[in-house]
Amino acid sequence: MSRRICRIAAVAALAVLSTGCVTQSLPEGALEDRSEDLGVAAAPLHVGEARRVVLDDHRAPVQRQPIRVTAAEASEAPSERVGLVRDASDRRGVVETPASEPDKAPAATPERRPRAEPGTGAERGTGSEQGTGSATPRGANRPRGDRSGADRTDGDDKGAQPAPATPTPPAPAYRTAADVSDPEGDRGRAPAYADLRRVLIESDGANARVSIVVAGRLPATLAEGEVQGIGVDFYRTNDRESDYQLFADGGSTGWEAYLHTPSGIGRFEGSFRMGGQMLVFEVPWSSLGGRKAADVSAFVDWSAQDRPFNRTGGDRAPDQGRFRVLP
Amino acid sequence: MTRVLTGLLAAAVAGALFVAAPLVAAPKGAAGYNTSDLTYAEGCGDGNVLAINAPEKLWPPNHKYYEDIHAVATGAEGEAITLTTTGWHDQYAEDGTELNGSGNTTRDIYVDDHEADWITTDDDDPDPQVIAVEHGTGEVQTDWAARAERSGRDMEGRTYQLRADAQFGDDSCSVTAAFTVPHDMRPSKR
Repeated sequence: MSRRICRIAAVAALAVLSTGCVTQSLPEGALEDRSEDLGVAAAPLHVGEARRVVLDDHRAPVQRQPIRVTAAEASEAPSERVGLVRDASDRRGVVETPASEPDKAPAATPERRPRAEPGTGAERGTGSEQGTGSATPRGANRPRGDRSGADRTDGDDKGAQPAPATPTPPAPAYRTAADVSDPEGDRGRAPAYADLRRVLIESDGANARVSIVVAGRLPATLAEGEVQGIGVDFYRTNDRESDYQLFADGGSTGWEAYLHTPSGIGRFEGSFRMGGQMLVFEVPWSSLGGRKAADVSAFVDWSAQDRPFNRTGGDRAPDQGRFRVLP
Repeated sequence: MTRVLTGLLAAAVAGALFVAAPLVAAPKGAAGYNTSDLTYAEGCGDGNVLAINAPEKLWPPNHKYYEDIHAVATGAEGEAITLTTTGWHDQYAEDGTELNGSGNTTRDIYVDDHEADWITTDDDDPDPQVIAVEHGTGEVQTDWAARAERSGRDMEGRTYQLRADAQFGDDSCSVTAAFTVPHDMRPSKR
């Protein structure tokens, strides 16, 4: 009997350890491969049940729909994908993502691909929601069933009849408008989730999708006394103060998003989602002053009352100056 | 402009009644939700009125300026008016630098008015202030702006203060307004 209990305990310990290993590897995947994550993130908003979330005309709640952060290990198991689920109520867990994303549409080739590191599987990343376009090497890992796109030429399709014309045009694909990386470890005395690593701005013609990646997993709620702000500034008319800004405020009650316009806090006509190491705003370009070039910078600031060791920190991307967005 | 006129109207009523501020709380969304503009007004005798129009809170703490802050001195008899306003906040370290965690931005409260002369106190001042002076007759208004930011190290958040001193001929009076950038927006602070 006791041997059986020991065996069960050993199996359980092994399961915990293996889960921990997957979790530890997630940050790399989160940075390098996000094509699926954003696809999932495009689901409609859900109002959280466990937290006070109020929708009004200029705030968007944290979405409970999980955003999946793809692990690097996925490249080693083409038929399965491993992801991290996080939202306001389900803090963490390792799950398998769906094997197919049926509503994929061909995507334009990104102008700039995410930084890839050999052997991590990251080299297949496209940085686009419908990231199955020509930038994806043939034979590279992709979800099963995701066979749309320009490179649909593998053997399974031999002899297939041309698809009948459909009256509904495919959803416009997002393409990269700007993609800026930031070094790790330049956040001051702050946790990893205040370390800005990447800012990705994409456009589908009508909407802007702004993704912020940090070095650590963003908590759904911060500790008592701890606050964090994450913002993306769009400079259009002057060089000193931004004209438009997407901003997320995090605290002990969760996260809320805001849109700042030249006339103040404006109506947030879009979505705000976060999960894993990523935070995603999606708003019409019209909310950001129109679909035209802008100079952009992003920031994270973090501080906490933590006497006697008051800690503060934060990060900027780029560390100095701004980067150009060409939607 | 309408808001300013509304504030002045309220201020005139206040002046007539000699009631201390705040008098008017007009809902306003431009400074973030749950934020109202308040008019702090003082009757200065002989129908003269001094008022400050400022938000109750600034939120979110996104480092952006809130620019709808005004000090207005209204004289009833066409006398020369000197309006002096002083702005400051309470999140400075002992050496006069901004408290860590505030975002390291510059000019957190400043005079947004080309018609006013203004100075800042020394950087070494542990409580740096911005002082503006503006002259005129009838109505003198000095416009201010303040950044919506605070350091999370202080659970009380940041408090901005604006004091207005007006001289109407031989008469003078003053009004002080305060508004905060809360540490956070938990329900008890909304």
